[in-house]
Amino acid sequence: MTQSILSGVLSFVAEGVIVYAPDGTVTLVNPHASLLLDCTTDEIIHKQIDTVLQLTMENAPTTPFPGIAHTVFAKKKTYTVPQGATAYVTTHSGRRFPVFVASRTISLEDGVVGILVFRDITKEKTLEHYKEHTAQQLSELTPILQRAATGDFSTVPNVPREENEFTELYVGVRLMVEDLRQIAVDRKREQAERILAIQKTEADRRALAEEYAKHLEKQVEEKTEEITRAKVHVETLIDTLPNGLLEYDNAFTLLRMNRKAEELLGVSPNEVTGHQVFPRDLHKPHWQTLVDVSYPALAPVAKKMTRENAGKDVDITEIKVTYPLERELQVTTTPVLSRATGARQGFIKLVRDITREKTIARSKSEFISIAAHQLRTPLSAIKWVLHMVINGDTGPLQPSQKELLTNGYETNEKMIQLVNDLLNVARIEEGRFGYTFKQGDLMPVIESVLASIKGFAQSNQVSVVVKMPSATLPPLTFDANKMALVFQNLIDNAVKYTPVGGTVTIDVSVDKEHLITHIRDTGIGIPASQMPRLFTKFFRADNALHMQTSGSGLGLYLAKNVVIRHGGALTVSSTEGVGTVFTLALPLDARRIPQDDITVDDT
Amino acid sequence: MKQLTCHDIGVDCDMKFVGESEEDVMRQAEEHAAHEHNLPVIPPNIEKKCRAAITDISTNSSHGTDTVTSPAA
Repeated sequence: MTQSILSGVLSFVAEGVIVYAPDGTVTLVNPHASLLLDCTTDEIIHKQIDTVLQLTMENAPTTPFPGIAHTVFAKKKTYTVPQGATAYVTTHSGRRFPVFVASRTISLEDGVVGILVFRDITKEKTLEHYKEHTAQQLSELTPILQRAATGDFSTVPNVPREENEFTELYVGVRLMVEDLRQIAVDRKREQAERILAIQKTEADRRALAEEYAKHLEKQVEEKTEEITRAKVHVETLIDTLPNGLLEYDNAFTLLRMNRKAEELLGVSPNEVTGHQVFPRDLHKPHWQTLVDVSYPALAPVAKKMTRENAGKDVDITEIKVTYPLERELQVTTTPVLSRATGARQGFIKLVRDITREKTIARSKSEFISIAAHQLRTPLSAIKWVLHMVINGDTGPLQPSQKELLTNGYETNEKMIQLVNDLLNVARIEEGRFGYTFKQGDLMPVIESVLASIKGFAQSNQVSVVVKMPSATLPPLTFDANKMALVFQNLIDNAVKYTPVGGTVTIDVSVDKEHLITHIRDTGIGIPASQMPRLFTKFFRADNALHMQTSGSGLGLYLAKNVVIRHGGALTVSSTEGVGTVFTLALPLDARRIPQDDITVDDT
Repeated sequence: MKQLTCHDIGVDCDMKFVGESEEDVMRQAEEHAAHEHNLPVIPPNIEKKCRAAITDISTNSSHGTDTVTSPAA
């Protein structure tokens, strides 16, 4: 009855179950066991349990297999597979598969029996094997991937010969590592090529720079040599100049002086070069002439000069000094300007010894003055005698006698005019021309001059035209007598050197700062080559000499000096054979009239 | 007609399956295995063993065992 129930129960158990007697004889087998062992129930019943199962162990301890029934009944232990070992059943048809197997005793009503349960664990083992295999594959691939991640592509995985589920992964990893290795190789090669290119460029650049540096060095050497030569040349020139030269900075520190300056100033360059010069240094021994030259305006005897074509910042002063010798010096002060900024960096003074020429000029002037005085008295007497005779005060004259005497009278007048001009020049040069400035209208002066010239113009058949502005002329400060002299000379010249039928135009106008008079003629003009000498004493142009034999050559010199003394300017433009235009500009602002006499430097 | 018994495949069980076709017999065997022997899925080696054990029978034969027949039979 018990056996029957047990059989029924066991037929429903989905494990192989075998019941055996204490001697190991199989007494009951469930369907699962039959199916697993590829036997019929009859083929198993009554056989030994160990024989039926054909159990073998893998990875088992070395202890011999004691037998299932012996373990369970004799040793009274539960039979299990040792830990770490795998039990295999081999069927009588030769099929071998891994099993879980366990056996123990159970007590039934009719005694104690052994019961063995076993289960086919092929799937579990396959899964286990798969896990182990996967782990093994990954353990092979992981270090390769780790090395690859750090840029080490030296190792590539070998694709297993037998294709399995990892083949694709192996191939992928291998291709990836090989690709990365190729990329790394390419990158390294490109980097090497780039480095080579950079090195080449750098070498080329360095070579170019070296070449350029050498070229530059050579140029610098050449330029330095050139500059040194130029410097020596300039220093030699400066040192051998016939005039003294002194160079200062803006603070009046003496930077350089040449030999002539040393001679004229009576001071050694070693003593003064590098020192500032102050007006108070007059008391220093040997410094007085240096101080006078440095500050010529403060010198006891000083005369400011003006020179045509000199720069507006150039100052010319004539001074008298007593040390080391009594001398008259002309000091020309020129600023040294920066080429870049135009700022003044210092100044240079040229000192010219004019003692001899001044002595000569004075002698000449004195001679002229004395001679003119001595000439004018008898000339005046002759004038009045001739005047009386021509007027018939001494009795009637024959027409031929009257004509002869009239010619003599006119010649005498010219002589008187020449003597007057000579006296005026002498006065100007001696600074005693005696100006008297008054505010007034210039037009009456011009009109009186025009009136005196009217007859002369008519006899020469030259038209004189006057153009005036419509508005009243502004008041002007001037010396009427001296300005009359200026207009007399300019208009007289214009009429004198204009051929018959020509025109002289006097055009008066005003701009913001000046009253301007243009005296324009259609005369013979002035040769271009002789224009620079036009305002010098006794100068007469070649074509003027041919046209008019008379004339002192002093008129323009006088006119220029008078205009400059008024703070104005007298300029000329001329085309030979076409005509001449003199432009006279006088300042409207009286403050622009110089305080002291200025003499035009006639050099 | 086709027939299979549990004894044919070595199982000590008196069940017999009769059907029109091999598939019919196998379907009955699978049901039996699930209900009586706790085998919801017949392993491939046993299925192979079952198919090999199926035999043809005549319509009036009888072995005196529990018989399952298909409704069509």
